[in-house]
Amino acid sequence: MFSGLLAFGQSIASFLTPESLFWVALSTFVGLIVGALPGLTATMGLTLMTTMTLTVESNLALLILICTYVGAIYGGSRSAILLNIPGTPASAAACIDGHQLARQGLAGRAMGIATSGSVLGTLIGMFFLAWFTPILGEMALKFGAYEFFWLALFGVVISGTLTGNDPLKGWIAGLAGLFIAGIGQESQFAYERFTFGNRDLAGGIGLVPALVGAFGLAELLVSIKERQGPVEINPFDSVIPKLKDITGYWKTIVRSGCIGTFIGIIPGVGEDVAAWSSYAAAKRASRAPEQFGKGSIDGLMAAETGDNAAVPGAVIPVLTLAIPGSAPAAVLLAAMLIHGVRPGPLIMVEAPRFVYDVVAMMMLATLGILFYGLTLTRLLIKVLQVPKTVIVPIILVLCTIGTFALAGRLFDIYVMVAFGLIGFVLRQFNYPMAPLVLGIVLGDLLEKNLRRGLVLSEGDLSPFVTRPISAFLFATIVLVVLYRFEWMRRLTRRVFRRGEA
Amino acid sequence: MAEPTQGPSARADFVAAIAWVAFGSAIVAGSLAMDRLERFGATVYTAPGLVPGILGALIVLLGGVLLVRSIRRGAVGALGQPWSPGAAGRAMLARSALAVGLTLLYTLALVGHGLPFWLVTAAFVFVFMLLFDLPERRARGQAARGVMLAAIVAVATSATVTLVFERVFLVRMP
Repeated sequence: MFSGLLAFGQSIASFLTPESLFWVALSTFVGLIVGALPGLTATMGLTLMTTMTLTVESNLALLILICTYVGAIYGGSRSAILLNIPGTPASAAACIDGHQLARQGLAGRAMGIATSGSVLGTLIGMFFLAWFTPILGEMALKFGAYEFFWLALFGVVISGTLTGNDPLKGWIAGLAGLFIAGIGQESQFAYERFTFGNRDLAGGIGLVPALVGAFGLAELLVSIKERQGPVEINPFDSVIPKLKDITGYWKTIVRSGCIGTFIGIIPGVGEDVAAWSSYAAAKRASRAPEQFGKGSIDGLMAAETGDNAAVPGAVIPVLTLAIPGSAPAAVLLAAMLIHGVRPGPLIMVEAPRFVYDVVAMMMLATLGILFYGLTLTRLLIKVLQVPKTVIVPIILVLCTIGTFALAGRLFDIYVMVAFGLIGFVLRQFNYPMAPLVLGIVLGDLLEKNLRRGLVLSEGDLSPFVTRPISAFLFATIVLVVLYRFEWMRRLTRRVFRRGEA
Repeated sequence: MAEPTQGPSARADFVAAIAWVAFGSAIVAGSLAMDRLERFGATVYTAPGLVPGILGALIVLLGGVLLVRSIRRGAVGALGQPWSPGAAGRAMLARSALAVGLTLLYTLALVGHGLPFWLVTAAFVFVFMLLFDLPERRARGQAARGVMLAAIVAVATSATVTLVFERVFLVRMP
């Protein structure tokens, strides 16, 4: 334990330089603005920042990205409270009670609660990141090809099940993502698949252009579809968090922090599900559930603690398994790979200090959101009033040049546009983007390990379902899929009722 | 499964399901046509078409489930109904089409095809803001102000982005 604390202290000390602190301040600010502005999401902000930090030294680049990530998830609460429009999907739960408080003239108090919830949620998540990452890393060393295959499939299935409101469409999107990952030269014989003779496609679909398209361009096209109404902001009082709001709701904070972190760990399921789950749990545990939806402090605290706790939670599987816990974490994973960091089970062996570096980055980002949460509100109000007809074309330009900057290829811009259009069309038909992108991220892992497993077992499928961890993952996937059917839910209820009797 | 969607939503699912079944079938066909690479020592487990073929088959399967579900929810009956999105829907459609058109023009036809990046970017931002912002400003009697704002934002965006990416990030402009 003490060696961990020492490593954490050394990591913090290494970032306490004027240059690093400047970048912490700037990137947290940028993240906050991106998160606060409706139509711009955390994932979009992270993908754009990834393209802009390619030439920066790796630790500094990741510091910038993590501060942007934390700032964006926190920033969404500003517009949720002031405008009743979530700045990012993660803040949708904060709209319910946050805006009601604003309408009662308590917008300042609501923002103070969101600040304290976000700060404490990130700190709780950070604690689990520091404590659980080495443990999960140790467990992951026992994973073989069979386990990684099921883990990749589990990520896509669970993401499809829990994001959006139609699991069938989520699974289809996930399968499409897995297929897209296979386009280009396959890894064993360099055989070109579905390239139609195109040399650029032979290199495969780049992850970052696809992310910029699906989460950047698609989001902009959806955003500009509707005309923007007049932006009205209620007057508000002090935004400084009250101590009684923290001490009086400590149970909600701890519960939501734990739920948020755990949801963040689940591959492909991120901050929005964490916020809603924490909100629902707080409502169930509350002595005044009827207040939820009418300006409940408990509800707002739960939502904001949960969504920010999911940020460190989502980074845990990135570091230990190279599997993203959320869509923004997928971008972080791509950035780590670009900068030569090798996340995965061996990280605690090859680069144990890196895990504590990430914890230190989270800590600095948390201080950043605390600072801006207390000081930046009036400036943010001005930013929220910038019309989207100004923001959309500017971000579109950044998406274009940012994608081009990756490798200097026009082909990457075309991939970005293709995924932007695919993402836009799929959104009109209510298909979620997260499983699609997760499929692209995990496709290579899934295929390599399936083929490796089949070669090792000489075609025998039994190791895939008899090894303990594989069996557990396989059973979980089957149950998750079957639970979507009414007959399975009825059977489960009958089994549990019989157990109670 | 998810809450029932009747009428037009079920129709949209019906159309999408047919597209998915066709897409999945094309993947399966392409996978079966792939070289098995036996001369390089590939077995059936390492054949290039194995995983795409399985994925294609699963897409066909789930597409089929979606098709059946949409038929149960009244898609076939709704197919004959005219598609009338209403005034708000038509306005959103027009805005979407305009945004997509401008984006395609900028990214596919203008960027990297001879003209300087700063010029096409300024033109794009200027035209985008004019087309989306000007009708409302004209209605409020602020047309001149709208044009000036669009010009300022366009020039500022083009200059800032070009300078930052060229001088700070050292990226060659397309």
